[in-house]
Amino acid sequence: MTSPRWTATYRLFTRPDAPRIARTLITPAVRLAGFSGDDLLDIQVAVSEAVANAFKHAYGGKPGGRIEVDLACDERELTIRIHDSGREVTPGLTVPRTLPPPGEGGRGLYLIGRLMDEVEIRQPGRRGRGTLVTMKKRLKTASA
Amino acid sequence: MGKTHAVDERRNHQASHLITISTEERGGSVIVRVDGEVDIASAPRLEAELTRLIRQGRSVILDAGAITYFDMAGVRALESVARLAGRNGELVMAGLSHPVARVVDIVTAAGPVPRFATVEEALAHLRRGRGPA
Repeated sequence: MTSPRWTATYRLFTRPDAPRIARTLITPAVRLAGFSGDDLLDIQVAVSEAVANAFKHAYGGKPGGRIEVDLACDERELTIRIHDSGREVTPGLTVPRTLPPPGEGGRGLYLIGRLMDEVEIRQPGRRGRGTLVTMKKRLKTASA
Repeated sequence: MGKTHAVDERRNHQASHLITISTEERGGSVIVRVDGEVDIASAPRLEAELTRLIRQGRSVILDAGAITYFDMAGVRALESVARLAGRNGELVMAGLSHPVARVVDIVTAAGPVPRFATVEEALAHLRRGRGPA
């Protein structure tokens, strides 16, 4: 990533509507970054899934947890970081390369992996806590 | 008095972002039309409504043409209802909007439940009997 044109940070709390709040908040910024149509939809779904995972797994569906969503935009791509400070449910969590069967888990992460250009999961995340999911979507005009 | 009003307003505000579910009887089937965003907040309501109909032994067509957002919560809800079907009623989906098709195509091999291009095709299938799609 070259030096960003801008960054934005959203602080969310664990509630069932946190995924909807997250995708609604980021939408103007994602448009500003230059994304529309399917790319915008992909980013909305990927962010919602990551926030839903933090709510359900890292915080066990309990209220009061914090989730940070950071956006950083440069000329080539949008980098989105989603960080929770909850428990690491599955140490060594990676994005599945093939579709996991229903009931095995991991389909949400597989979906994120298919929708975004790059996805990385780091545990522990920031400040030695939780999970940090970093995902990137490249601007189509910049990659030409 | 003012406080109660505020709570009601908040409820209405939240409801406006959830889903609207409407049902219609046609050709012996129930068509369940969903408008809005299906995610972790709204999927439980959709699942409850579909489960209620399936438990009554009904053939249910989920008209997914007006769903503006759909993710894994929706996929899991439909899979969960589909597991009840068979012995009970039958669940199919029809007229998938683009946001629904995009997610369903990636995370399911053949769709969480049998899918049809239009409600009319789904009705024709259900009329032919309750055989596999």
